[in-house]
Amino acid sequence: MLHLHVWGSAFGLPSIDAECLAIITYFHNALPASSWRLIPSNDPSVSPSNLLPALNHEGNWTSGFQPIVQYLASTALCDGLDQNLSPIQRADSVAYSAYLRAHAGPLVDLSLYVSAANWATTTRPAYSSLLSFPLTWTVPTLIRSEAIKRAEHLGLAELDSDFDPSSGLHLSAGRDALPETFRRHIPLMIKKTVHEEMTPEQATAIRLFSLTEDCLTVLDDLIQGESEDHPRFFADAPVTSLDCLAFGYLALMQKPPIPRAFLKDWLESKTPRLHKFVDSMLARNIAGRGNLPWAVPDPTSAVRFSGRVFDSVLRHLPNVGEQYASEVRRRAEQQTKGLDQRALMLIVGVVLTGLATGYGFQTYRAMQPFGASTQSWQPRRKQSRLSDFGQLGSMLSSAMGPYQPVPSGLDLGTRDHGGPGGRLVEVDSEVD
Amino acid sequence: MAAVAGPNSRPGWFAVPAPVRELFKLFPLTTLPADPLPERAPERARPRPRLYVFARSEEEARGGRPSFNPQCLKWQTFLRIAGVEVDIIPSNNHASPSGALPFLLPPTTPPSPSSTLSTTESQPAPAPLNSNLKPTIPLTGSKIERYAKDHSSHEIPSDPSTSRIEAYEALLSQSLRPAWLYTLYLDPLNTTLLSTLYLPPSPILQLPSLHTLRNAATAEILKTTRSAIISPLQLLSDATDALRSLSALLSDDEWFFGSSEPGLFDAEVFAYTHLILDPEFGWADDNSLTKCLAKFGNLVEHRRRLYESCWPESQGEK
Repeated sequence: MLHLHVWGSAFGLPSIDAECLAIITYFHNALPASSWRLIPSNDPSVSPSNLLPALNHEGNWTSGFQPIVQYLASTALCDGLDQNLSPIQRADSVAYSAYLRAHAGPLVDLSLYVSAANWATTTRPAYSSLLSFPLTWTVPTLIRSEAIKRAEHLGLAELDSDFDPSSGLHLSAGRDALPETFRRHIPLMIKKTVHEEMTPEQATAIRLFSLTEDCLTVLDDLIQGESEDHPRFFADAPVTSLDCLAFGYLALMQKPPIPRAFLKDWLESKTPRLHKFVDSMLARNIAGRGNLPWAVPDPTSAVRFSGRVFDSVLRHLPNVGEQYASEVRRRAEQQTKGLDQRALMLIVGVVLTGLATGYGFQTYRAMQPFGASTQSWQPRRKQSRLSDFGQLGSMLSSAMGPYQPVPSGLDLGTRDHGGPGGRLVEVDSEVD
Repeated sequence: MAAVAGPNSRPGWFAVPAPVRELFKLFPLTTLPADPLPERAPERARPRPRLYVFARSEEEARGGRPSFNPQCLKWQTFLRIAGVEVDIIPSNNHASPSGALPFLLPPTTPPSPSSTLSTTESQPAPAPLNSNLKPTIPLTGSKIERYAKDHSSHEIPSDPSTSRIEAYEALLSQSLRPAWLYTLYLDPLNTTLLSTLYLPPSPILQLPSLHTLRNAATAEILKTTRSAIISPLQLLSDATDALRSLSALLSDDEWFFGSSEPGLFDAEVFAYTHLILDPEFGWADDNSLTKCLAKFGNLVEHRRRLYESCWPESQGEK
């Protein structure tokens, strides 16, 4: 039995992630539904390489679309979908898969993650419905920051800054509610430039569309001249791994109900064949082949869950988070389990640093404020106490009430050091 | 009121007092002659275009030997294919206006010799309407391609089908490059090679530079492969897939995409295959990427063919 762990469904698609969507399509078309289970675990850490989709075949873990396809072929678990392709078609399939990852991936990242409007209205709620409570605060933002990093080279970071000046708190918003005398003092700032009126997507439309055009035209060129109703990338094969991967990315461009749907608009108007391809794949190769073999994920234990929460919180910490993430990656790469010397050293280092910081902080707190004088009281030694005289003395002492030293040195004017009473010692505390 | 203020009464409120004015008149105390430009600064007059690349030594660069950086070698090869004579200058990323090598400085004078430039220093010579009289703008990336095509000694065939080329270029950058980065930068076997190529000789600077380089390479690999960890086996298997596809694409043709002349894509593939196969590159003995590439005979042949046609002078040595 093959267990396929994926991100769960969203936007009417089986998964929210492109590669998960692609591998689900691949499995659904290559394998009978009885031989595999689809588990929406929504937790990359189920697999050792910390990536979804992940395939668990009797304890062997494989992660990522291409590796899973290769694994299926190498273990001869099923007839690969690419078997009937000629060598040059296979070469094309590999090349266009790389192209999809290199160019379509960042476009999906831009549209679903970087664009603040789309993220807030669509993608984040979708993740919130997949995850359970405290993780909804930490994990989606981590996923988003990774997507932003991946799309960084396109130079479209301004999609992120989606501040709409015509709504919310703006100086001109409540103008009419103010009394006339106040209103005169507020500068008139109703006039906005054309650029300020535009959403970030409109302001960067030229670059955005040229990116979209570059990417989708290449795909459209390959899919040209195939069957009219059900276009596929290679004419003589019903569905190939390239079809699956392209469906993964294109469906995420087309299906999510996002407010700034620049990719969807382009697909509909400029490359109708790709648009038709997505619909046809969805109808024929997903819905048309029966239900997906969904399975309920194993309930996570409380320890594991709190561990995941702690992990995601740690990753959010500035500086520490990056160190932590790279350390986790190192351990996953070298497949270290438990405590080795390096981990022990790190933990000891962190504990020692923490102790030193805590001790320093306590010492600082215990210090006097700058320049304030320290007053210390020394009890009078000259007069003998009753309790010095053994048992009888202590009995007498308790009968006469507790002994109170008289702070007679409080009158600062008279500094009779040798005299009776408390002695005021002045010490200037210095803190550097 | 106006009559009271005589001609030699106190001047206006904002006038500078006389002693201060005298003091300020002393400056500048002396004016030194302008410093000469640093020795390695580009000269004012360049008879030939200059390509700034990573190179092992001055001699290698002067001899026009292939650079050890794939990106530089790609453009170096393409300029050779186009038949554009360039001077190779060893340099590093800090010299480049875009932050990455290579870049090309076009020649200051048109190829026809004219001595007008030496007489007028500041005033440019009465320019003939020639595009290469914009001497200060360095060219990078696709601008080098346009320059090479404009100044080529022969006609370079334009690319037959751009969309397929783009897909295969993505294959190089997406599958072959991560494996290259891993082998050169992260593989501990090649640390000595890496330090001779990219690291400063000073041992104090070497360790931090090595860390920076490795972190940058790790980030780059993770970003392109979209995975959470770096798995050398997976990178190698992806690279093998990529090479198999390239081999199938080339099949029995002389150059890629069945053209009669080598083009930019040939140069790009050559940039990787040459460096991976070069026996003098200094790879560690057990380089899996070399072994893997050696299996694809037509790619090896392609590399040999292009090397012989672009570096004919190297034939005598072997």
